[in-house]
Amino acid sequence: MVDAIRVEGLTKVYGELVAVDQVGFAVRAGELFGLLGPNGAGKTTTICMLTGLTRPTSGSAMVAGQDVVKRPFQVKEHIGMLSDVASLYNEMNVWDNLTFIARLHGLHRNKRSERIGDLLDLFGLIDSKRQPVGTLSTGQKKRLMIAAALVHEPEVLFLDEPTTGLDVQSARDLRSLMLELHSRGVTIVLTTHYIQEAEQLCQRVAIINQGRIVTIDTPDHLKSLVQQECFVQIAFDRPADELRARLQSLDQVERVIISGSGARLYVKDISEIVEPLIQAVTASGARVVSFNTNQPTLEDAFVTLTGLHPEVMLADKAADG
Amino acid sequence: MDRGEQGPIAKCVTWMVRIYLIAEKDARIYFFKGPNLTFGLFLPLVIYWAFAIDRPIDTQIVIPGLVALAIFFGAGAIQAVSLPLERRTGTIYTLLAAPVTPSMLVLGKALAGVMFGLFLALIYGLVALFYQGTSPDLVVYGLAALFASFCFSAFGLCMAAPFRDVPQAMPPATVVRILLVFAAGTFREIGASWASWPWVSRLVPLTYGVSAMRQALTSSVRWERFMGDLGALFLFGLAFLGLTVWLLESREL
Repeated sequence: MVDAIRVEGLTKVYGELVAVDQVGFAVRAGELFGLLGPNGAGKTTTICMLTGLTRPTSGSAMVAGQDVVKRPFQVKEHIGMLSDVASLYNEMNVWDNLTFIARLHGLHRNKRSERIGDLLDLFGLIDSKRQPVGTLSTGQKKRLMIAAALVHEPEVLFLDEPTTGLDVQSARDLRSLMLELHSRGVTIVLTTHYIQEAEQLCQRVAIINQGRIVTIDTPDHLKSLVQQECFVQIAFDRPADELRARLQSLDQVERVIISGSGARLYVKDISEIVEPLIQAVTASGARVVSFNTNQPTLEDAFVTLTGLHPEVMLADKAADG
Repeated sequence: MDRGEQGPIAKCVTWMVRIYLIAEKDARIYFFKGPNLTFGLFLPLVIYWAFAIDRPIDTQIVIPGLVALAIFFGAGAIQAVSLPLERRTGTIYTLLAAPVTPSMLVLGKALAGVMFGLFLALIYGLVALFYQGTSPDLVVYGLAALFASFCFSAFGLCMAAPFRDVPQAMPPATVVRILLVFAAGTFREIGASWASWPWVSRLVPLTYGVSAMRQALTSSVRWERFMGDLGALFLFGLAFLGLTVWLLESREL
């Protein structure tokens, strides 16, 4: 598959501070790729370099087939960006803001109105089109920013901390929108300090800390790197002791702890045990009352790989205001 | 969307359209902002009244000075509002995420200042007509207003470039401008020939704006000197624009 983004040895130095240090990764066309790291890890600086807003100190990057270092202007024609630092004009209304951005991108008048109308429909803002941007809620502004980033149909969309500062419902809506855009084939690079968000949305995640990429992989594979006990907690409609022999006989089970009508089964791989376990219980004539699993999360992988506590990321962001 | 390579002429037209779009947007948003009206429209009048009160006035000297002053403050005031405000609110990054270079951004903002300068030249020109009673050569007046607006707009940008908020940008820009008003001999004749001007005055772009405006409004054009004034205004303007781009790029906006 073609790479939409290819980064090699990208570095940004501000005086004595190395904000981004020899970063390298590739993003496939149509992929939803996450950059996950605490505040100050270098995520936004990386995005700024990839979008031509900041000149790299060294290294190279190709975005949508354009060289970021040699042709930053051309890169901008192929990308859209929602950034923590950028905003739209509060004094202008929703429609005029999008029209202004569309005209900057050279969209023809006929196509412009149709495209803006479609985007406002998609983002649920069509009823607010004559409203000044300054009067919109934070969630509406974020959606409008993404609409503005998409107005010229970019090949790659950069979303820098898109759900930061949003209420729960707006953040959920925005995540659904990201998945919708991804399903339409847009390549998305998402930076976030919310581990669950990266786990839920991204096909692959790069964990970045202190300007360096710690690792890049799928969330599932990152989780499998964590050495942690997996178990299934199951409850029956009768004393679990009656099923002890059947449960212990299952190949995948390493250890069984019985407690009343419940049992805890320690296993190596949860996905391997579900089917035989249900078959064994059904064959015994018992009924399953509840079923829970415990397996490593991306958060566990993040802690193992970076040595950071996940709450540090949120505390850093809150302190930033 | 079709994003094929453009030829040089099409590319040039695209660039000019983008510069115009930035200027149009600035005009729409910032022309009637409070600080712009206060420092651009009314401050020159206050300075003029402070100078003129209880003093015999030679309108041939003072009125052209007032018009030049209005353009000097007005064309630059919008920059002290728009550039720092856009950096603080982050709208500048939305612009720069689009296919817009820092040079195009600076030219667009300079053009907005020129538009505001010409608008003020129209208003104050009518005032001059009313007070002075002479009818200026419109072409000469238009040229003087255009070059002065360009230079003073670029000067305003240069003064605003280091700052990230309006309250930081406005006071130093105003203080420096007031100092330059007196160095340029805005309300007094500082010598008929360039050679007789104090060296400080020769380094102040406002001097050339006042000189050009005086010739335009008193119908006493000496072409060699007038063209020299326009040339100086143009070169100062270019230097200020170059310095602004450098300041913005070196500070990563």
